[in-house]
Amino acid sequence: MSRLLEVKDLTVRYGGSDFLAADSVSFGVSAGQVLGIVGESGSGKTTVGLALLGLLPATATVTGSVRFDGTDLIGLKEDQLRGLRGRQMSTIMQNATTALDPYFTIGSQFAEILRRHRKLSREEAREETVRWLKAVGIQATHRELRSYPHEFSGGMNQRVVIAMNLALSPRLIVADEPTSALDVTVQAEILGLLRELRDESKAGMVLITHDLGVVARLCSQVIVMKSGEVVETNSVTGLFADPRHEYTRRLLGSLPGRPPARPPDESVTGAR
Amino acid sequence: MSVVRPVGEATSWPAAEGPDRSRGRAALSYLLHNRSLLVGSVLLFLVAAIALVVPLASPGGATTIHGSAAMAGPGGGHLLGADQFGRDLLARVAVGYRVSLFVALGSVLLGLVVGVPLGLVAATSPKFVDGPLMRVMDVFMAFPLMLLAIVVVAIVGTGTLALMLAIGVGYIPVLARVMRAQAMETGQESYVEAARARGASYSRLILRHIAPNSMGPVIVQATILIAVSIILEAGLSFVGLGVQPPTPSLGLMLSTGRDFMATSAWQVIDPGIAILLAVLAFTLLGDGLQDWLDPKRRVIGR
Amino acid sequence: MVDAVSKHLLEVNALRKEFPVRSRGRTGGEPGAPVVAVRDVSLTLDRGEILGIVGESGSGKTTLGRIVLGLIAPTSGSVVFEGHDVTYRTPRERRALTRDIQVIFQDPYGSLNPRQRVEDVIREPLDIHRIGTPAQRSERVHEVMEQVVLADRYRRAYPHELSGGLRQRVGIAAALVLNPKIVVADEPVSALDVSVQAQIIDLLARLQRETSVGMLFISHDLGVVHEISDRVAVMRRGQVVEYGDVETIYRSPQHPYTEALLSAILPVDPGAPFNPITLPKEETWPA
Repeated sequence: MSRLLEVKDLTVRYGGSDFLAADSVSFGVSAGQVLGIVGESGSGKTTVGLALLGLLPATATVTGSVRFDGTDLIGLKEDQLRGLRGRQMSTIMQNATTALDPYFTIGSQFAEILRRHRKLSREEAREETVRWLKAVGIQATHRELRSYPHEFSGGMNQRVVIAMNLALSPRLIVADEPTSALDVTVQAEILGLLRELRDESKAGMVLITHDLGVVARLCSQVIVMKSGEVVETNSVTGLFADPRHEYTRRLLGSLPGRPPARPPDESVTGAR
Repeated sequence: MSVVRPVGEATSWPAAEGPDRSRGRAALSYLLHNRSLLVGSVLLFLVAAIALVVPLASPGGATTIHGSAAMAGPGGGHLLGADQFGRDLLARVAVGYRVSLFVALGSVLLGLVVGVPLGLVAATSPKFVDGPLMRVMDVFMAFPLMLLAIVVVAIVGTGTLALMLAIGVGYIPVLARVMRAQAMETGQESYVEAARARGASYSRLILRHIAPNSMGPVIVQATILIAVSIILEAGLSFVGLGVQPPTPSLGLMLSTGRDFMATSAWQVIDPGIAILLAVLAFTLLGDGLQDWLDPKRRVIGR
Repeated sequence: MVDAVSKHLLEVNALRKEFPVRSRGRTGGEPGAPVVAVRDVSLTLDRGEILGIVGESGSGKTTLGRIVLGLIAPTSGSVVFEGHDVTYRTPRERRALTRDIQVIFQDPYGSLNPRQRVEDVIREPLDIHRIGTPAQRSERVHEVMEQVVLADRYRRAYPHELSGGLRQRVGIAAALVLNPKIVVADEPVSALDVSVQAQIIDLLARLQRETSVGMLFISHDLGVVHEISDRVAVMRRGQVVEYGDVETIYRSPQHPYTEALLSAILPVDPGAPFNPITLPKEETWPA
């Protein structure tokens, strides 16, 4: 088994309850591949994400295996997990602003992360910071570098997070609802950046979302979850063209009122 | 692929089969993980048991003199030893607990009864009311609790009720402040706004919506203040400003026991450990409660 | 004061709302320049009509809703309800108006008091306005629960025991219990699962048809707005950039911002083209 991430029969039970937040979940991700985990609330997709990152609470009972590069993540001690985070595994969360450290400026925390994970000198880190921020469309002048996350919009902070991922080049990226908190127009731009991240980094990506549009945009493979179980595993083209499970069909069918599609040449401003 | 339950609106109401068992098990599991709450509860149980049961089992035991057992160590009829008059130390500690807890609960109650409404009013009033009110609170909070208590005792005299007042007065600004902070946060919630939008009056907003949902941190603070009370009461009694003999008090026992430390240290050790246990119980309880009430601890899986 | 004669149920004219900013000398903005949340907005709403207000964050749509509800007073401009100017309301006037203008909030998890049972939540508006006897109130609660398809067995449930969709139905029931003339729905389905959204939208549409209530449907979701509204106002940075019949606007938008918004909607088809239009940013900082 040469897959980057191999999850087998992952089962999670919280506290003393009977309810299985995740029930025998199995899937795999190879390098360069983007797997989408789609589900509504209560589907267990967030639980799976937490399991991948080793962030499940102490009161949870976990069975099954989550193998990253052959090593089972379940049962690893915190300091071992910490060693993996950053260069091997990283995350993109829903609320980018809170994912960044509020006490440090963007510039300084970016540079700090580069120095810690890539062992760069202060000067090199600064250069890299500017370079990667530019790559995601942030001018990175003095003003930007010296600002704090709460002074940026959600969209800009998400760009910073993506830039960090580009700079660190982790082997596995777990993205949990990366665009759900963003405005529609900003979401479109961030999706574009995520596509770039996907194409350039050759990382394996797990994308957790409830939004099928995002899945269509970014993923090649997808699993659909409901009430803790995986109800369908498919390629993205396969899923949208011919959904096998009734629940998937319902999901696809219940998207409210998409306005009628307009052919591109009807645009007023003459843009593309 | 796998069997799936119908896509209906999932709810936990009415509770499914065996609701109490599953909820009970979840609660037990949580209790086992929250060490502070667990240990605090156990200690509290111990303290309460001593305070309640011992005096009932041997009424008057705290004042009965057993001449022959004067200054005895533990064992032989006196589980914790006896004092210089031969009075059973366990019985005295138990009655001392009663007094301590009585004063502690009373003082915190005073703090709550006055502080909570003050905090609510401050949180929901415009600046010109909130400002001065909180400045007055600040002035009181600038005094160390012990000092404040001594001043009050100097004015109203000693005795259990006086102690309650003396200690409780210092708690009013503390609890008012916590209440105010929490009420201000709760006031931002959507349901408060919804109630306003539906025409709810000020009193309804406070009594039905804001207050009930803001009590969490206040209760945690109150629990910790009970622990503080026990120490304050012991301290005041130690210097003679608190409970007066013949009413036993842990602080008084410490004070009189001092003179006999060379011959029988038990007279000092027993009340000392008793105070320690009680304070530890309430502090851990407060700590554990805080974790329990913290919304982040709610199950993350969604 | 002579009230303006208006044949509309609700009319807002040249509304403007500024929020003062405490000068702090932040990098970038002028210290002290007020934030203009709503800038010269004029709209009408008629009986039995659903007006969608669509915009992204910072568009002012939520502030507009609060002004209509009387929760905030505008800096200038007027709000006219059934011909009467109700822009600045005394507490008593505001109270009285709450019988006619009601609200449905976005967050079904936050908009219900966790300590109130379902029947208490729904009955509260009746209690506040002292309508009917306790028995009559109970009956009305039952009636309106039926209307929103909320099974009677949920009466004694607490919010945390219900799913998001059910909670939102409770919120809708509480909004309808007084038979209001206008309902301001602020992102009523945004926090719900997709499959539940469809159910709630259908419910709202049906209720609106049955009661002829005028609805202000505020949302950032273009698809949802398209589904339920008759007319729509597109807002950006406090201003209405496009206003009119929903089909017309969606098929041939006139304003570049509307166009950009529409083009950013993700197609649910991996093969479909996706060419979102990026508008030149008026200010690069902060984006």
